Amino acid sequence: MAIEELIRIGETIYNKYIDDWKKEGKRVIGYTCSYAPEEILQAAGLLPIRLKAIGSSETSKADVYMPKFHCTFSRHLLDQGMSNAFDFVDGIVFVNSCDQLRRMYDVWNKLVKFPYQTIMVMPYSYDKEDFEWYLEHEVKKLKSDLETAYGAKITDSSLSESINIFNETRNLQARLYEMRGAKEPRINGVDTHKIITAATSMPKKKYNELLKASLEELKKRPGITDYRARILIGGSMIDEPELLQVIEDAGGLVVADVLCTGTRWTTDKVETDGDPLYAIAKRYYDHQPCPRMTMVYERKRDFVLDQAKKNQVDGAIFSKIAFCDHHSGDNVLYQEDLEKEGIPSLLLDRDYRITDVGRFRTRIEAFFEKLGK
Amino acid sequence: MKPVPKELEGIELFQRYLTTFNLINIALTNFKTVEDLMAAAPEILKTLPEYDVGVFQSLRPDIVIAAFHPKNRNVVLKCAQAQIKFWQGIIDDIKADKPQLDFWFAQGPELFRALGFSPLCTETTLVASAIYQDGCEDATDLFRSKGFADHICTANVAYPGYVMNGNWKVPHVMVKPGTPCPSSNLAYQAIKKWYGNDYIMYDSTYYLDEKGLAHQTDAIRRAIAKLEKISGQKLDEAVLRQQMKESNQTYALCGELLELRKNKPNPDPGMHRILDLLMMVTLLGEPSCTEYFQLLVDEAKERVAKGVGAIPEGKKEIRALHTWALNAYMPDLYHWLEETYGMTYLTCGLSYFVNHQVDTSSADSMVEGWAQRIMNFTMERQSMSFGDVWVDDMFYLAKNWDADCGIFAGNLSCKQGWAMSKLLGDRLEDELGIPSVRFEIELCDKRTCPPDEFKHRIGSFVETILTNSKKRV
Repeated sequence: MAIEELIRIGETIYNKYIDDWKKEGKRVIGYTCSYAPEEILQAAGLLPIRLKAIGSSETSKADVYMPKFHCTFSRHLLDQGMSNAFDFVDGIVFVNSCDQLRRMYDVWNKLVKFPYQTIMVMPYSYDKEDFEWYLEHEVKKLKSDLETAYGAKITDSSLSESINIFNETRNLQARLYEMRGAKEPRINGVDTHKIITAATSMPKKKYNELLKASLEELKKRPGITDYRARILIGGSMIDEPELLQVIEDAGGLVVADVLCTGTRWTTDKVETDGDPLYAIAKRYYDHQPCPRMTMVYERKRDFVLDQAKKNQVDGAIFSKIAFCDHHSGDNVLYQEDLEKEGIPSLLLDRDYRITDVGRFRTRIEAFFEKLGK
Repeated sequence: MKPVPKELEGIELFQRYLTTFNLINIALTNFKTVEDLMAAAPEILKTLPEYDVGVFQSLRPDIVIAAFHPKNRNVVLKCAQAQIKFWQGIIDDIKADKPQLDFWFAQGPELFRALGFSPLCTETTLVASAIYQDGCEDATDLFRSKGFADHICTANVAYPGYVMNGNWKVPHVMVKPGTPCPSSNLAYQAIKKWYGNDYIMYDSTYYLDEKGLAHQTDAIRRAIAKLEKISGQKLDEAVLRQQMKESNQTYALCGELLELRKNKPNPDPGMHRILDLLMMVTLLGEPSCTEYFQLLVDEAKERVAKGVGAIPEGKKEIRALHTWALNAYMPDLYHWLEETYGMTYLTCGLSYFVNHQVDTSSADSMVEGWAQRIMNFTMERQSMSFGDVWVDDMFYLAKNWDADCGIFAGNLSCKQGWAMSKLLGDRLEDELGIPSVRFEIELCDKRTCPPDEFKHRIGSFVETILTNSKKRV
């Protein structure tokens, strides 16, 4: 079954598809943020893989450099890097997503060496001149650096081919989300999330084939009706859906999300007419923004409200990885605005890896009771 | 949080500073010693309004004592007299409804004055609360009570707290570069959402080179155009020129002062570093700022000529480089370190002002110069860019100013800062044989590390490590 295969791949950092890719003598490149323009990486003949710290259970190596009051995602990632867990990649593209990840890059750059590693700088404002600067100095530079580092030639044709593949991925993922958000969803939140995550751990062409087949399989499934509450989930990035599992084990159903590892990553497509490099840059610059973009709160809020209404949620749960400043800022404001619309919200703090499941279950069950569910 | 009296609505915090500096001025002008002041205090307090009495009683006693020390008093008095005019001006401008502009601190105020605004630096206004026994913890807690996390930088979150409580009038516009930092960005975002005022964020460059300067200058030019619309006033080139010429003099003196600290013993008292920062973000571009730094330079030169330093004569000097932001935590600490251990203050991440002289020949050259100053402004220089810039700066300072130790202490909520602490310490240790220590504090929340506890910890470091250490290189 294609669904089971994608769910399984969504739980991995390394898998047979990556292995097959490497056996063909091709290279893999890691990235750490949804602002990394994957299409360009693929156009260079590389397999882009979003780095996750799956399997990481401690951060003792990283803690020496990044104190305990730093985001646990960045510490797990650094720890995994220092522990050679990512040695299967041939390069890494970081992004200055937040202070913690950009400083993690500074530490990484001293301690962990890959043949190619760089940090892309995203502007913080939306003036057209800032976009032009980003295109000129970051995106074109990335293209040129990749060509130099890997002896690749990134052509308009290879970029357009990438765009088409990735846009197809996004179209298919949108259909999956429709099924998740239906009145009687054909799939739960946990499995949806794993299937979406699988796209970051395997070649997109193969992923698209499997996702197409999965969507057909899903059509044959009965809808889910035995749930207590329809939930939107937001906040810090989630790769392993432990929190979603707790929500669904408590009887909830995650039918919508506003995660950078979910809808915010998949929603916006790349324009297919005109200069492909420009179109890719435009998509990543303008895509549904991360909390780091504090000048566009209304746009972020509208997206949350839209997802909540479209998917008829009963409540929203915003979690943030401990010590994440950005999501601390936005989650509170979203809560204010959702409650104005009559949608209650729950704010949770968590580590990157959730181990204290009982604490979350108690709070989530209490939230469902508050919802009258 | 205490409600604000109606007559102080929107200005209470500024009135607090005005009152504080007035009291300091009265004390240092009329009394020779702190003992004289304390003897007369009961009678004086009877004559003061209740609000002023409250402010007097809220001051940290150790700061008052340190301010009276001969090496500190002239500079503290100079600063206080300048600050009286500044805070009175802020209050008058608010009452007159002059366009108020709140800015994040890694910028000088000169440009904003030339655009017709009454500029006020948010973070340093909060950091200056270090002079009180209780700083701005109440405003921080009010903001947190809305649900915001307790790990957001306390030098930023008390700002929306004061606005929420009515101690600080909502400005017409807030201006900041994109980095740093998440904490300030989210605090400004919340104010804009709640109060609907203008908020201009211009992009910060990540690169301290020519292309970075071009990007930074361009971003500021665009911000100027937006600000002109808000104030309804075009950039006044003549005002900007006057401001930049004045700030050129100030920056030259900053450079001279830094050089003077190479002398042994260091002739420049460490308690003045928080005053330097306060003066730079409030009065840069005004003659009073230049006069303040001129006094520092003159006094330092005089000490060098006499062969004395900021420490008691005969005491062995320990030269400390504060590799992050200690200067803002409790200013009297440095006086205490000088007097108790002979530990002097070379510079820190919040007082390292790189002397950049701005070409004042045209509006364009001045805007570019202002941009370059921002890129190199204390903290902005270290935190907006690659970590190497910071490490290299501190290595350069430690080596050329002959530091004996590195002390990394700063807001533990400052994520970009703390991730550099180990790399900084390693570089100083490995290449210069200089030991380092790290202290977790919060600049504007003394509950994180109470002052006496901090004194104990830093004292232990000096006694048990430094006294036995010798440079190995």
